[in-house]
Amino acid sequence: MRKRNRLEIIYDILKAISNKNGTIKPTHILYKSNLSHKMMNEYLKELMDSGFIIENNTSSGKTYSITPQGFEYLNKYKMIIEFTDSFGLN
Amino acid sequence: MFVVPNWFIGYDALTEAIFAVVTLLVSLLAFKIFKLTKSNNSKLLGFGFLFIAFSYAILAIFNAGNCFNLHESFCEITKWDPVMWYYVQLYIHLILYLLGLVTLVYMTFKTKSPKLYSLLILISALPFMFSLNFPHVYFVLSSVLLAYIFAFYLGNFFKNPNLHTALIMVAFTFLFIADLTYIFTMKSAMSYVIYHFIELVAYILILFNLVTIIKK
Repeated sequence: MRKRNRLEIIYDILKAISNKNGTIKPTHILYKSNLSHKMMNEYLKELMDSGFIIENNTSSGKTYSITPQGFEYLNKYKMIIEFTDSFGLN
Repeated sequence: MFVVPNWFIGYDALTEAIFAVVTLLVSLLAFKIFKLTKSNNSKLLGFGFLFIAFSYAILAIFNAGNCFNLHESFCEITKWDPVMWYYVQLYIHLILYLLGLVTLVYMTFKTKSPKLYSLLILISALPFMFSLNFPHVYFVLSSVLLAYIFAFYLGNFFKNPNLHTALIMVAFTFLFIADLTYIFTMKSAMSYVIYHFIELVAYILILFNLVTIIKK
C-alpha cells in the first residue's frame, strides 16, 4: 500500500470532520484518519495553527470543528495536488 | 551583448512580456498554495518564479524602450551614459534571473538550510564578479542550473508520470536547450530569435499546465 503524504493526510482529517457535519470527536478522527495517537495530535496542532480547524471544549469532552479556511482547502484540494505534483513540491 | 535582427525589435519585448506574465502567474499560484498548505517548497517556488518574472519584466521594459527610442531621450534628460544605462539594466536582469534559478535549484534539494542557499548564491555570484566575459559566464551558469532543474523534473516525471509532470519536464527541457543554443551561437542574429522562440514554447507549455490545473 502506498504511503500517504502530508497533504493527503490533512485532506483525510478535514474530510472526516466535514462528513460529520463539520464537528467531530478526536476518537473519530483517529479512526477515520488511520494515524497513531501521537501523529494525530501533531497533525491536529498543525491544522489548528494553520487555522483549518478549531478546538471546542464542551461538557461532553473535546471536539474539533472545520473552519471556512479548512473548507477552502477541501474545495481546492485537487488543484493543490495537481500543482504540487507537476512542480515536484511533495 | 545581443545581436538582434532589425525586424525582430519589438517582438523580443513582446515575448519577454509574455514570459514575465506566465512566470508571475506561476509565482502567484505557488504563494496561494503556500497559504493553504504552509509548504516551504511552495514558498521557494513562488520566490524563484517571482525573481524570474521581475527579470523578464525589466528586459521587456528595456527592449520596449529600445523599440520606441526612449533610451536616447532618457539619457539626454538624465545625462546618463547610454552604455552604462544599458549595462545597469542588463546586470539587474541577469542577476534576478540567476537568483530565480538558484532558488529553484535550492527548492529541488528539499531541505531547509539557509547556509546552503547562501552558498549557492555566492557560488553563482563569484564568476559574475570576476569574469570579463560575463554574458558567456551567465549563459554557462544558467545552463548548469537549468540542467539541475531539468534532471529534477525528469525524475519527477518518472516518479509520477502524468500530463502535468510531462508538461513541466518538457518545458524545462526547452529552457535548457534554449540556453545551450545561445551559448554556441551567440554572435549570430538568428540565434537571438531562435532563443526567444524556444523559450516561448517552454512558457506556453507552463501556461497550458496552469490553465488545466485552474480550470478543473
